Amino acid sequence: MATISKFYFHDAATTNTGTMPTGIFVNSGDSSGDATGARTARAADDVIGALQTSATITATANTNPQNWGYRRFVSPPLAAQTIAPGDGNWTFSCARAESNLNHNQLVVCNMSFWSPSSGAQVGANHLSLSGTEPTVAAAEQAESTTSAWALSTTISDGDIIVFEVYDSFIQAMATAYTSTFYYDGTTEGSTTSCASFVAPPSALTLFTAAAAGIPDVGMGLQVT
Amino acid sequence: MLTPTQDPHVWIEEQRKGYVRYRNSEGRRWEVHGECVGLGHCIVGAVVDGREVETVVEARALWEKFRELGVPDCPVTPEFKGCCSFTFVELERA
Repeated sequence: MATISKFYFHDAATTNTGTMPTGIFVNSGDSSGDATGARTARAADDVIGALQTSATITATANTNPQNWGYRRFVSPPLAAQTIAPGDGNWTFSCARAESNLNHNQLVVCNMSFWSPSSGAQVGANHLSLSGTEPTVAAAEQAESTTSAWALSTTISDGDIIVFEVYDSFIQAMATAYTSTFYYDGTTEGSTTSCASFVAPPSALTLFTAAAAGIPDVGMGLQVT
Repeated sequence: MLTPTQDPHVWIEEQRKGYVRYRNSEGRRWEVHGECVGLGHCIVGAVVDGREVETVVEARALWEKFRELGVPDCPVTPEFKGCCSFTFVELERA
C-alpha cells in the first residue's frame, strides 16, 4: 500500500488526470487578486524540489483587508479514507518576504478536498494554516505552523487535496507594497532555497489502480 | 466636511500642522499626532509608476516630488511601524 507523508510544493503543473480546480480560490483566498499563474493546479508530492522559485503580489494602495493568491497546488490521487480532527496536527512550512513591515504579510495555506472525476469540491470542510508576519522587511524568512481539522471529511478513491496559498493582510499605510512566497527549493526551512510543504500528522494512503482492484491489462491480464 | 485621501476607503475629518483625524469606510476613527518629515522608510518597498522603490534615497526624492505636486494625503493607521515618529489615538467609531 503506497502512502505519502509530505506534500512538497512544485512549480510544474500537476500530471493528475480528470478535472482540476482552475477558478477562484475555494475560500476567497484571492478575492483581491492573484500573482500571475496563481490559479494553475501545480504538483504537490513527496519529492523535494531542485530550484527555489517564488510568486509575488503587489498590494492595492489602501488600508482595507486584502487577500491575494500566490499559488494553488494539488496532491496525487488518494485512496478512500477519512481525515478527522483526532488524527492530529497538520504542518505548513514555507518561506516568505514582504517589502515593508507596514504591509503586514500573513501567509495562509488553505486546504480542501476535490474530486477530479466530478470536477467539484468534496464537502465544504477546509483547514487554514496561518503563519505570522516576518520580523524584517525585504528578507526571506522561514516559518512553520500547525493546526488540526475541526470536522471530519470522508473522501473517495481518486480524490485529491487542494492547497491554496495566499497573503491575507491589512496594510498600515495606503501604499502598493509587495510580498513574496517561496517554494520548490532543496531544503526545508531554508531562507535561500526553501522546500515549502504541508505534512499530515500521519501518512495518507495513495490511490493506486491495483489496490482498487482494477485489472492492469498492460501486464497481460485478460479482462472478461 | 470629509476630505478624500489617496486611500479610497479613508477620509480626513480634520487636519492642521502636526495633527490629522481620519475616518474609514467601516466607521473607524483615529488621530495621528506628529508630522511627516520625509524620512522615506515607509516608501521603500512601494511600487510607484510600475517600479519598486529600493532605497531610502530614492524614497526621499519621491517624497519631495509628491510634496511639490501637492498629491492627496497618504493615510497611516494606528498599526503603522517605523519611519516618522507619530502617536496615535483610537477614537469612538462613527
